[in-house]
This record gives sequence, structure tokens and C-alpha cells, in this order.
Amino acid sequence: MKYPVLRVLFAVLTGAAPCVASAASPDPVKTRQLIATAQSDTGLAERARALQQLALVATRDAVPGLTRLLADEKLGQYARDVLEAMPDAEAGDALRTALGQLQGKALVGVVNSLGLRRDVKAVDALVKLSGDTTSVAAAPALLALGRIATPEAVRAVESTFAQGAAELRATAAEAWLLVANRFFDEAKPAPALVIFEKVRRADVPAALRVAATRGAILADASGGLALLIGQLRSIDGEMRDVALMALRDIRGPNVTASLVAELDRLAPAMQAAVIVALVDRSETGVLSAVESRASKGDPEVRVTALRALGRIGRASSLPILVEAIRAPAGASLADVALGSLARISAAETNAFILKTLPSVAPPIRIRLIGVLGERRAEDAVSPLLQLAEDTDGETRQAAFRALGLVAGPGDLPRLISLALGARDDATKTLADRAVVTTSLKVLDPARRADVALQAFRDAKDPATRSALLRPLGAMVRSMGGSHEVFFAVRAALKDADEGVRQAALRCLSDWPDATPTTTLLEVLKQKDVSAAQRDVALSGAIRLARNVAAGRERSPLNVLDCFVQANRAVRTREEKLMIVSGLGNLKRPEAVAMLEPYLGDPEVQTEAALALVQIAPSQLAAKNPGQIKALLQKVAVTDKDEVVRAKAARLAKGGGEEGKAAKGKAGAAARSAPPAAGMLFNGKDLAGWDGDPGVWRVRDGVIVGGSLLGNPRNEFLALAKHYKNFMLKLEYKLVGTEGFVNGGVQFRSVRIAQPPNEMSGYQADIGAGHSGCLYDESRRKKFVARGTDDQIKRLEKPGDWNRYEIRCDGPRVEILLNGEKTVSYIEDDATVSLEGLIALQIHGNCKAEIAFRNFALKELP
Amino acid sequence: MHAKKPQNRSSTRRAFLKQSVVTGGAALFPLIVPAHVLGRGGGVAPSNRIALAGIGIGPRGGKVLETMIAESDVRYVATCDVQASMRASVKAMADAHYGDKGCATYRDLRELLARPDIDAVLIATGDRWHTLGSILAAKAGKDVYSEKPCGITIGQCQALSDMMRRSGRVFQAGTQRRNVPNFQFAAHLARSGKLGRLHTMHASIYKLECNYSWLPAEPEPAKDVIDWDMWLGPSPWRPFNRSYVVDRRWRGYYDFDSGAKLLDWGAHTVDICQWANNADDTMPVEYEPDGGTVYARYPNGVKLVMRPEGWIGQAPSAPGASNLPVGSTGTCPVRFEGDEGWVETGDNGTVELYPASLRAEWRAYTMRGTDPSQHTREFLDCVKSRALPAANYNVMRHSHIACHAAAIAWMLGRKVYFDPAKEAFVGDEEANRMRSRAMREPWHV
Repeated sequence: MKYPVLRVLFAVLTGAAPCVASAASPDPVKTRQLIATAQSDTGLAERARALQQLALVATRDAVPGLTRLLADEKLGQYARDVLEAMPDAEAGDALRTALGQLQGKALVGVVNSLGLRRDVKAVDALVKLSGDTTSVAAAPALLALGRIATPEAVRAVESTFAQGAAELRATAAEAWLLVANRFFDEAKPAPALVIFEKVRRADVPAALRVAATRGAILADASGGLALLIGQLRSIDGEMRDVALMALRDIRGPNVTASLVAELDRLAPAMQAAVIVALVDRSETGVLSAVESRASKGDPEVRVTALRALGRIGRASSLPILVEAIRAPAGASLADVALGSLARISAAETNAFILKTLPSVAPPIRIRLIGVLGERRAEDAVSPLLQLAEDTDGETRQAAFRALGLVAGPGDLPRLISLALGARDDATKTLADRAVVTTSLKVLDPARRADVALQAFRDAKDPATRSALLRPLGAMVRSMGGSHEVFFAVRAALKDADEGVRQAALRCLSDWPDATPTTTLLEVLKQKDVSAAQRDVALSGAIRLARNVAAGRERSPLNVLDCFVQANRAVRTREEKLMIVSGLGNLKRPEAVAMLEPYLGDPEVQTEAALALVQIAPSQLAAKNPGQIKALLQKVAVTDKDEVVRAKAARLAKGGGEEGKAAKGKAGAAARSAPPAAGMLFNGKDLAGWDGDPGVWRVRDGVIVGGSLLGNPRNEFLALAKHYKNFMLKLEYKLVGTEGFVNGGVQFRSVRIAQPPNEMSGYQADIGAGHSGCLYDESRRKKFVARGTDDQIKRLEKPGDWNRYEIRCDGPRVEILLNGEKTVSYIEDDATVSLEGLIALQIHGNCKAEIAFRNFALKELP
Repeated sequence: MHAKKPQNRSSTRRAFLKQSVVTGGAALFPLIVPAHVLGRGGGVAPSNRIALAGIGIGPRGGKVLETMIAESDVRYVATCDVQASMRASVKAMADAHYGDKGCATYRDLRELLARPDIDAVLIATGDRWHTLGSILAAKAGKDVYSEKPCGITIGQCQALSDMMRRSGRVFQAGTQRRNVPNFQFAAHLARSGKLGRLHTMHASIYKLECNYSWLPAEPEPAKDVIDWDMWLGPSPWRPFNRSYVVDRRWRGYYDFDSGAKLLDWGAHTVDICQWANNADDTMPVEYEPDGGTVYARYPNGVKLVMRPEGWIGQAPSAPGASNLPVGSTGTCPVRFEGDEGWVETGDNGTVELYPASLRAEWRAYTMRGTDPSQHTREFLDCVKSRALPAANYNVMRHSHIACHAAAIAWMLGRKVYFDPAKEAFVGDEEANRMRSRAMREPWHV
């Protein structure tokens, strides 16, 4: 592609037409062919298409044919379109002639076209038409005259405006404004002003008076400002509106000063509106007026002025903003001032905030530290690092929170050492998060953990080493795995210190990929391994192997061998449950063999049967389905759970149809596979869900969790798949008698090992006063967004069915309770996962039962 | 919930975005006035709410309306559609939202616009009605949010822009990416010189095509079921076929769509390029089509490439297959290149850039490019404050006309030269005739 740009630019700038070989001109040959088609008796569509092509190329030869078509009800407009755009005089002649021959809509069309062509010769005829109040073309004729705007045309418009028929007055005013606006755009403000003044005082529709007022303000160099100010005081809202708008456009040396002087005479609401408009003018002379109103006076005006300082404020505004934060005048003032302090562009801001910190009360100090974070105050990193060692706990936490936003990779060594010194748990959590988010700023993802890893290698004392393992694990999870870190953490399994060994083990069991699986299994074989270590290692190994078995991760890992080894290590009921549920993902004949003993184990019988049912469809299709068929038949008779028995029976029967594996497979899939997309719950059993069958069951077509006899701990029923963006609808009912009666719906969550049986991630909370609120389970451990108390009280029906809708789209999370939005939240923490499991919760430490029904899920792209 | 720690810290998305400083751009934080001090008919509206009406609310309009109706300072009072079923379903939605029967319905927009209590209208009809609907609304004294493309010819865009400027109405074009953080960030990088000297911009467009055919004629339904004459409005007459109306299959037709489909995405993506090039008051001066791509050049020398292909992560299209211009950044991608760096972004919020250090200013959260919520909120704030919104009439005028000029170059199959001051092609009468089309009588602007 070549650009002869200089030549063309020159041509455009000098107004000379460039020499372009292909430049088009009207085409007589094409014109003859097309006009013939347009007048022929072929189909309407072909004729219309010919006319459309003529609109581009027609020469005057087409005019007679086009004229004949003007009266055509269907194609008349097509013909007129050609004439309207043709520069040839003949086109104008034809349209003018048609004025005397056409009626109704066709006439209106021709009048409109003549107006758009600014056909001077049509004025006489149009004047005549405009006086004929019986004609549908009278009003269009007035507007056409307004467009053409010869002196004669303007006189006709003016006379209709002044003394014409009442029903044409508004149109005449509109036409006259067309004239005025043209004068104004052609830099002839004087004649424009005469018209604007008359129309704005006339008894015509408000919209026309509004437009005329705007014109009068801008066209009148001497009186426009006074008119504007007069309108600001008007009792007419629309006049105030247009004055505020014109305030942004009006020119002149005294405008800002006059309006500033006017401010105090206006009602507070108008003062606020004028301040906003003045700020939009971006002229000097406004700041001091805004500053004085930001410091005292009507609260409504103060709020606006404080907000405006965020845009136009200078160093002189900083004390005012801080004062508003400090003063007990009202929470909303302080909030606005904080927002402005976060946005204000004065170079001195960060230094000013830092200087202010020692002199303000702790709650304000904490908010100001937050502002430094929001401002990304990189020049405040050193003081923030000092504040991270403050004697006040909340100050330390705020400092780490801000550091998470402000610190750069270069600050990591210092940040890490401070995090290691953190005394209380809350500070430690925030400090670790600051370390992790700062490490995410390292441009090369593979290098994110370098500094922390080096600190880990250099650390001499065991406490430091174990403390570093937590952020290291988080970094590795953000990196999707790291062999370098893996080897270091694996080596720590042989550390002399018990605490370090335990932390390393936990880090490996939470690894993002399957790399540590065999390492974890080797831990199980050690002789001196504690029960706690066994628990972590085994659950980690099974989780990682299960991910590979279920196809969630590609890995060269020998999954079968992992399960065999893990199976050998299993002792307690919990461990049995883990392995059995893991085997449900392993679609291999060996899995059937491994499950067999558990089928006779009263502790996990039913779970084993469920796992068998889960893998049966794949195994029944295999070469030798004898073993599994026999087992299914046994389960079908002996299992305690009625649903499992029925399922096993169906599968055994389906698989028994020899040689029809495909049919058996299809049948099995139809019966026992998880419900189809969007249908999360099949209404009969918990196919597709994963949770403790002692806690979760199906009763009367709804999912029920927990017990009125008591729930010892939090329990979750999760879907297997990870969901990212979706709309989830469901209904819940929570009934309880004692304790903390509560439940919830987890999403974008993961199952975690510590505390045992927990999940981590977002929760749409359920329970008196908390329904409709967004809690962050096990992670930030607080509500990240709440509806108002009044709203929740109004919406929630305790003990009854309630509708819940959860929408996740990118970082946006919304919750609707019984049809009303209670939460609309944007995730601002880049480390929070935007995908994960959906799960139902019943809370521990209560006597309560929760029920769910009517699920619908729609995944979003 | 895991532990009992109720904290009354509600944080709304809007409050959050308003606080985030770093995304760049000039007036990204329009100031708001505390209350609607305006009110129709002289007094302060008792409810202090903006009375909103909708015209032609379909699937996209519904999404936009959803974001407006969710705002507490809005009351949706009336809906207009030429199709009875749509009138009914929008009314049902609004009534369910408010729990009453208060949403009035109209077949003829002129009756709706005659109501003095309505402050603002959302126009989301098919493209053919956008300009006329907006102008009629402005004449009736309403503020307007119009879906894009706001005019299907250069002439319509001029008339619309002039009307909005002169009538003192607030106008926001539905090109919401001006109010979406990742697009703001990309434009900010270009505008602030962070990419060095800007030399080339890329705007995604659909595969260009023009359909001139008619669907077969079918018997016209009764006016109160589907008003076909009103549906056509200012478009040329053609026989009724329910598919245009009921299935909304009007896109791509020359009579109903604009600029060979170029504006379907171009109205958004070229608009962001105009912004990135600090060119909201001008437009490219030359346009050269090459296959499905149009190359244009601004007076300041910056090149603008409107193209369907070549986006990061986009699969190469099979020969002959139409390829949606979607890369790894999602739909509607744009790309800005300077002599020190480049940035590419799209609707899923992903930002690709070079060098990586440019990312330091970017906060990873974002919203989807199709999400109009910030854009509609800005419109509502401006209805109250009377400030110019981000996609105001002037911004719309120049970015839309640039798209139309490119589409005309493509339809003519030759290079054209454009004079931004006169808004006319230079030395090309055929192109100049394509700047406007007559409206079917009795409609006019």
C-alpha cells in the first residue's frame, strides 16, 4: 500500500482537487440503461434497484423518466432520491414542476427535497403553499423556506410566525430558528439574535423557546451573560437546564468571575450545578470559589465542591480536603473528600498526606494510608514500609494493604523481611498478600518467586523458613507451577525442624500441578510420619492424581500407580472416603478391583458403590465387563441406599445386553451422567454433585443438607466442573432452631485442606441478616459487599423459599435476592481467582437444615 | 459464611471505578450534581427521578435499558414499538421491576414524544430510525441516548449533530467503549505519548457486504400487530416480510443498515481510534479500499487501518469463509502502534502491549466491552448536570462520518479524498451523491 500522502495533503489543504484517474463522474451510458429498467414492466425490486444505482450516476438524461415516476406510490421516493442528490439544474426544474402536479405525501416529499436542495427558484411556489392551511404541505413548505433562507423566504416565515394561522406558528418558529442558526454559524450574530430573541419570548412549544434561549445567550456578546444568569434564577426547570448547558459554551472575559459572584444568590442545588458547569469550563478563577465552598456552608454545595477539588484542586486544596475528612460533619463529606484526595493531581499530595498522618486520629490515618494506595503513591513506599512496623495494629495492616498496591518488584526484599516480622495473624495475612501481589508485578512470570525463593534459601531459623512457604505457595499457584521452587520445597521436607517440614508438606499438597504427587506418596512410606502429615500428604496426592485422572490436567504421571500406592496407605475412614471418591474418576479396570474391598466395608460401602456406579459406564463397554457386572449386581441387592441400588441394577442390566456395548454406554450415560448443561440437578439423586452423602441427600425432589439434630462442621456439596462466567439461579429455604443458623452458595471456589473440609472463595450468604450479601469464605473472611440492612430485611423471607440469582462476569459479581439486586461488586484483587467450583453450604455449629431447588445455570462467554 | 464478622462495607462497582485514577483519559470523572434540580414543566420533579422512555427496545436495547432501569434515579414510564409483542414484553419487564402497571405503551413514537413529563429517551430501533427518532425527540425537548450507528448516511449524522448542538439537549451515542476501562487505557497510552510517536491505528470491522435484495412479499398484518409503514419509516418502500421485523433480519440491507456493515463495529472501534489520535474534531482525509480492508490517513499523517483480520490470537480464515474479527482480546479489537510501543485490546478486557513495562499503569480488573452500564450512568449524570457526555454529538459526528467515508470508498472500489472542514469528498461526484439519501415522505429531519 503506497500513500502519495504529501501530494494529497497539499491538494486537500490548498483546496485543489487532486488528480485522481478513477474519480467518478455521472455516466450517460449507464444512465440510459438504468432509466430504461426503472420504467420497464419488470419486477418492482429490479426497478427499485435500478433507481438506487441511478442515484449515484444519473445524468440529466434521466430527469424526464424520473419525473414521471414521482407520483408512483411505491417507487416515487426512489425517483425523488435520485433528483434530490443530482447537482444538475434540470433536477430542480423537474421537482418544481412536480409541485403543481402532486398531492398528499408525494407533494410533501418534493417540498422536503426542494428545501434540502436549497432551491432558490422554488421560493415563490413554496410561499404560496405555506399560506394554504388546508394543504398537508404547508408546514413542510415553511421548513423548506427556512432552509433556503433567501430574504423573501425569511419574510414569509416571519410573517407566518407573526400573524399566520395558529396551527402553523410552531413550525414557523422552527423554520425561523433554522434561519437564525445559519446566520449564527456564518458568524452573523446580529440578525441571528433578533430571531432568537423573538422566538424565545413567543408563545411556542418549550423546546423551541429553550433552543432560542440558548441561541440568544451565545449570539449576544453584550447581554448574553445577563440573560444566562437570569435563566439560572428561572423558576422554569428547562430554562435552568439550557442556561447550565450554555454556561459551558459561552465566551467572554467576565463569564467566570460574574458567575462566581452570582453563586451565593442561587439556591444550594443550583449552586452545586453551576459549580460543576464552571469546572467544565476549565478556566482559572474558579478554584478559590470552589475551595471556600468546600470548607463550609450548605452540605449539598460542600459535597459538590469537595468532589470538584478532585478535578481542579491544587496544593492549596489539600488542607481543605483533609479537614473535611477529619471533621465530624458527616460521613458523606469525608467519603467524597477521600475520593478527591485519591484523584487530585497536585504534585504535593502524597507528601502532604504523609505529613498529616501523625496528627490525625487512627481511624482517619488508616483511611489516608488507603488513599496513598489508591494513588499508587510510589514515592510513599519508604514511609509505608516504616508504617508497616507501627505500634498500632490497624495502621500496620493499612500500610501492608497500601503496599500491596504501591510497592514494586524492587521493594520485595524489604517487604519480605517486614512480612516475616509481622506479629499478629491479621497483619501476617495482609503482609503475605502484599508480598504476593508485588511479586505478580515481576514482568517475567517465571521469575516471580525468585526473591522469595532466595530469602527462603538464605533463611537460617526455622520460623522464617516456614513463614516463607505460604507466600511461596501462592506465587507458585499464580505461576501455574515451578520446578525451581518445587525442588526447594521438596528439600525442606527433610528439614531438621518439624514446623518447616509440615509447612513444606502443606505447600506441596496445594501445588497447582501434579508435579509433587509422587513426592507426597513417598512421605506416606516414611516410618516416623505423624498422623497430621499423613493426612495432608494423602489428601494432596489423591487430589492431584484425581485431577489428572479426571482429565483436568495433562501430565505424564502414572495415575494408576499413584492410586495403588495411595490405596496402600489408607487407614482411617476419612482416608478411605478420599480414595474411594478419587477412584470414581479413574476409568480403569484396576479401579474396579481396588473398589471391590471397600464395597464390603461398612464405613464407606455406599460411597464405594457410588464410585463404582460412576465408572461403570466406561467399564461395561470394555472387553471384559464380567467383574464389574457381578459387582453391580451385588450392589443392586445389598447396598443400603435405595437410589444406588436402583442405579446399579439398571447398569448391570444395561451392560448385560451382550455385544451392544454402544447401546449400553448410551443408556448408561442417559441415566447416570450428570444432568445436561443448565440442568444442575436432576431432581432424583445427586449425580454430578460431590459432598458427604451423610449430610446431603435428595428429598421430595429438592436437595437437602444438614440436620435439625445438629451440624458439627461446615459441609459443602460441590459440582465437579469449574465455572468462570455464569448466571446461576436457584431457590433456597433455611430452617434452624439453635446455634448459628446459616448456609450459603459458594462460587469460584476451591476445596481446601485446612481447616479440614472447608472451601475457599466467594459465598452468596444465606441466613438472617446476611442473605443477599457477598462473603469471602476462608479467604478474606469478611463480607466484601453487602446490601443495606433495610433492603435485606425487606427482601428476605426467613424460613421460606427465597430466590437467589448470582451473576459472575469477569471481575463483576452480582447477587439478586428475590429479584432485587443486593450486591454489585467488582473484584479489585488481581490474585482472586475468577473461576472455580459452585457449591452449596450448610454451616457448622447449628441445628439447621437447608434445602435447594429450581436450579438454572447459564454459562457466559 | 465461615465466621460471624458482619461488616457494613458495601462497595458498589461504580463507586469503585470512579475512584480508580489510573486508567487515563481527560474527563473520565464527570462531576455529578447531587439531585435532579431540573424537572419538566417548571418545578422540581416530585420523585427526583429522570422520567425515561424507550423506543424500539429489542435485544440490545433491552441490555442498555436494564442498566438504566437499575438506577435508582430513573423511572421508566413508557415504551414504544411498532410490534405489539415487543410493546407488551418491554412493558411486562418494566412493570415487574416496579411492581405496578405504570409503563405506558405506544405504537407511534410521536404520541410518546408528545408527553410533557418525559425527560429522556433511549432509542434502540433498527438503524434506519436512529437519526429521525433522535431528532424528533430533541424537537420535543427530550435528552437522547441513541444506539449506534446514529445515522446511516453522512447527511443524517450532520443533521443529528446540528440538531443536538442547537437544541440544548444532552446526547449520548451508544458507543459505550469510551466508558470501558481497557479501551480508555489503550487510548490513554496513545494520547499521552507512552507509545512514542503514534503512526498506525487498527480498527476491527466486519466483513464488508451490501445486500440490495428484497425478501418475498407477504400479506401485511394489521397495524396494531405490526405497523409495517411505521417500521419502514424513512426507508424506501419495499413489500412486507415478517422476517425483517420478527426475526430482526434487516442487517446488511443497504436500505436499513449503514455503510456496508462497516459501522456495526466501526462506529465503536474507529471511534476509539479517533480518540486515541486526539482527532475528535476531524477525521481522515483519504480512504483506500484493498479487498476487505480500508486504509485511511489523518491530516496529522497517522494511518488508520480498518480490517477484519490479523488480530492477535485470531485463527486464519478458511478461503471463502466469513471470519468474525475476534482475537484473543475478544470482539471489537483495536490496536495502536507508535514508534516506541503498541497496545491491542478488545471486548474481553485483555490488554496486549509492548513493551511490558507499559502494564505498570494497568489494573487487571475490567468490564466487558459490550457493557453499557458506565456509559448509561454517565448519560444520566449529564441529564442532571447538563455536561457533555463522552460520546456526545460532536464525537459521534466525526467518528461516524469517518466510517461512512471509508464505507463509500469500499462500495465505490476506489480511493477517495475527503475534506473534513466541508465534510465533502474532493473531486468525486459519485461519492458526494452517496453522502445522503432522501427520506421517504412524509419523514424529514
